[in-house]
Amino acid sequence: MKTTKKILIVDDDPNILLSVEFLLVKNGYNVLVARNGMEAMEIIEDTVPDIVLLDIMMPDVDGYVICEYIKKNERTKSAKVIFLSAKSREVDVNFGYEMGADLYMVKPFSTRTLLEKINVLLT
Amino acid sequence: MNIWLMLFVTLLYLVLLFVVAYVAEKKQVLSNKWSPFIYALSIGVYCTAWTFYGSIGRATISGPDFLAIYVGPILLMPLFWGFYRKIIKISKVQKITSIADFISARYGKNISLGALVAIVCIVGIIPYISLQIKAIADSFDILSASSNSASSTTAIQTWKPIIVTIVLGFFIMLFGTSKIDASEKHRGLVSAIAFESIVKLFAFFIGGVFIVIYVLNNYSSIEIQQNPRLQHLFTFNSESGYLSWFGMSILSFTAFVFLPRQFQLGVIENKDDEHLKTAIWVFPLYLILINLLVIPVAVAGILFYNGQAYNPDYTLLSLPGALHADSVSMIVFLGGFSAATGMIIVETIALSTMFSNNILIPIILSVPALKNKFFTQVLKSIKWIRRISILFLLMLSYLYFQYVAGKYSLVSIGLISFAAVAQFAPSVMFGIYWKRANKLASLAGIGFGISIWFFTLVMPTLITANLLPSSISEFGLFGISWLKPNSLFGIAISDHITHAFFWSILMNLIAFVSISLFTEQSSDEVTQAELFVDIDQYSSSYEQSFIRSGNVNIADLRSLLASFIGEQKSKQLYRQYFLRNQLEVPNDDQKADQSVITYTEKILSGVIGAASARIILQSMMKDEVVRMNDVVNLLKESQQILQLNKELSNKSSELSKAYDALSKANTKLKQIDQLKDEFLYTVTHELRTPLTSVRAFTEIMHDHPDMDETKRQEFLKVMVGEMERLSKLITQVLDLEKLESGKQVLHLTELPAEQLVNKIVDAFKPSFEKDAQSIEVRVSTDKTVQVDVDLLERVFVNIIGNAKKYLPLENGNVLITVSEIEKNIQIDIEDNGPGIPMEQRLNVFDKFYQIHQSKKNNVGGSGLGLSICKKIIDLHKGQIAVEESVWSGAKFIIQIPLN
Repeated sequence: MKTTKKILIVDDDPNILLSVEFLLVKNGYNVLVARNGMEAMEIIEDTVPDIVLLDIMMPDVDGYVICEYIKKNERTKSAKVIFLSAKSREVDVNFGYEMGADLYMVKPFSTRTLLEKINVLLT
Repeated sequence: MNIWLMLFVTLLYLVLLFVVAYVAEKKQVLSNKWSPFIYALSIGVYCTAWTFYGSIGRATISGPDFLAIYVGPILLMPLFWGFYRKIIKISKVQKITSIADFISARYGKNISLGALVAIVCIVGIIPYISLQIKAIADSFDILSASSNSASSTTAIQTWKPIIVTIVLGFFIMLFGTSKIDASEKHRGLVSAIAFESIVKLFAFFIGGVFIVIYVLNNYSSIEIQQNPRLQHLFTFNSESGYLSWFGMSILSFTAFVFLPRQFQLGVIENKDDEHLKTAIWVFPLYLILINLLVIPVAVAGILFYNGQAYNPDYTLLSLPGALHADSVSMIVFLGGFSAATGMIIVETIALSTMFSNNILIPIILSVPALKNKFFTQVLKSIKWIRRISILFLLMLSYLYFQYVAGKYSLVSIGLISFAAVAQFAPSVMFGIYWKRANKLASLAGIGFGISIWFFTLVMPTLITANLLPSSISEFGLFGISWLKPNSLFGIAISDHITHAFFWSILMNLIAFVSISLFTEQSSDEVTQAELFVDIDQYSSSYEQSFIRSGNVNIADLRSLLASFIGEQKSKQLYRQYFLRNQLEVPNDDQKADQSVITYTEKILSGVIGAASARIILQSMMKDEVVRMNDVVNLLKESQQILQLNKELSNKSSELSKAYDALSKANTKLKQIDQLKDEFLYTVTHELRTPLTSVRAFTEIMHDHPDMDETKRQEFLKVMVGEMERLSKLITQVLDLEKLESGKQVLHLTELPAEQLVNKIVDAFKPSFEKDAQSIEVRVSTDKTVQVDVDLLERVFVNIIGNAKKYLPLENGNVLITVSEIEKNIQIDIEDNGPGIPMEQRLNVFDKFYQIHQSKKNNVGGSGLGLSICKKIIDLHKGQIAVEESVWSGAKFIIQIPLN
């Protein structure tokens, strides 16, 4: 890893944060963590991550909104967005891509696949 | 006058009559608006030679009495208009061919009744026909005698009546048997008769006006008024009295309706019952006009002959002759001739129809050998039966004329005929208004009536003709004094016609009504009674309304009908029938349904009468069994067709309501289905969250065997927690499913409410104490409840467990109150936690509704707990709700009904 890539994880499930943060750190990424939508927005204000791993159903701001914000904003649109959601219906997935997502992964996901996809998106 | 000239003119007149009939038959000369008038004039056949000549005779002898027989039709016709119209309607629907057919059809198409009526008609009317022959013969004599020319023509004088009879016979055969369907309209015949009505009225006026001008003008009005021999002409005869007038009016009205010729023209030849509206004023007007000059002519006769002997009946003919006005005489003669021939023609046709349809054909059909012959050549047979009937009847009339009628005046014979047909009045009148009227009653009524008629009116004539001993009229039959023909039961009514009419009709009525009341009808009679009395209901649905069982196919029926009316026509009729009823044309070998059979019977009735048609169809359906109950039931059904239609439309609206309800239910089911989908989706969604953690941690630990022990322990702990969450969720989903599907069985135990609560609270107490929280129970009732203890415990565990989770870290407090409120045990569970926001209180019992929406804060349950609680309370027919507690926390209120 020549340059350390910045990855933001947004989820209100602490167990997801715990596991994915551990996984990414172990694989040499710079990891930012947000426990809800507001925290995620605050982080994006300061810095533009290379990749955002985004949950959809959160009590305050939902993931679609955050994704749309990132992709519509000149400053942030370079960030790749991967939805990680338990919403498995086709409409939900399609809506995610409409909002500009680069990838939509349905929970429970494979951490191995996630790593591969992140790798692909970053090259 | 030259007798050859007279014969020539007479023949010429007959030819003219034939031309009128022929032309009218072949093409329509007059437009339709004239047909009501033609109809009205054709009813003028009521005025026979008896009117034309006899009225003057009767007026000469007894004054205005002659008017009595015109008063009846003039006064009663407007009154009984509806009655007459009903007869017409029934006849049209049932294809009635004669009065005999009408009565027979009303009483179950009974053969003997039809035959009886036909016989009464023939016996009663033959003298009347011979009367017309006599009038023609007499008028011939008078006219030829007025010129004292040829003595060489005596041979013709003698043979004249028979010649006239034979010529008329052929004429009638041409008219009457050209069509085989006797119920069909004979436009030619009707037109010819209407023409004759005009001729006789015209002739009467020519003769009458001539006499008034050339005879009456020679006398001053004072001379006329004071002449003692004329006085009776201007005063009503008080001797015969009002009773006689009244009797005559009724009698003449019944005659007007029931005389075969009147029935033929007034009912059977009626094209449209609307024509009655014209006839109702044209016909009375005609009667008034034709009687207008009767008195003046009678006066003129008395004055002219001035005491000399003369036959007053023929004043109208003899006076112009005496004044040598040959052309006037000739015209009057033709008028009288037309009056006589009109009557003879129609009466003979009507009688021959009855004679053949009600007497001859039933006889033929009952003799197998004749029947077979009949069927081999039906068309020809019927024609010949008709022709023979006509000749037979005319010959009978001629013989009567030759041997009996010579001895009587015109009027008395006519009235005897009137009294005979009056016997049909009860059978017809009751028959079309009273369903109970039955066959036996009709047979007995007519039988009794005609017997008395015979005894009181015919026997005296036979006695006078020396055919019976005169002792009968002097001392009564068998010497019984109250059986005298002219004073039955010792009650003498001055006028022997009124006397006979009164007694015969009285006996007829008594027999008719009492038998109808005390005897039952057969199924056929019930059917026909319905059809006649309720004609307005059935007129359109006649074919449907009559049912009989039978086994016959379409081809059989058609070939049967074809033998009567021809192949072509029967085919056409059936095609029309199926078309009209919007039915598919069935195959030949298809079984004919009841309506087709009834239709065939109806057509056949038009040809050979109702009774004969019935016999033929019955013989065709050998295995026919008319089940009384079936007929009555089906009849009732058809009677209730309107009612049924109503019910059907009600039913269909009910159906559409049911459809609405169904589609609503369907929508609801779809919604439920959608909810189910939603639930399933939510469940899988809820499962995904813990699964995600478990999978992630498992993979990570597998892929990083080098991770440090504390991290590993941490991860494993999370995994255990998530696994618990998973299994709890699965249990709850299954529980909920069980409760919702109704598979949950309640194991009810009766125990004090206090005990129920305490058991749970005791179980919770250690954990509360451990966390320095308090839980307290207050009980104010000793009532017992019937509950499933296990299920209710789950409710309390859930609610108390929830409360405990959200209690503040310090001074957490849960209070449980058990009380009795309005036949319910109420259990309140209050806490001093954060409480539930107002707007969410209704939703907390919904599935997967989570107050803080945060699925993953580790505090939260599955979101199914409260749904399960509500379901359990519902099963106990109780209620559960949530409010705000006194400490602004949550307060769950559970009510369970006592017993």
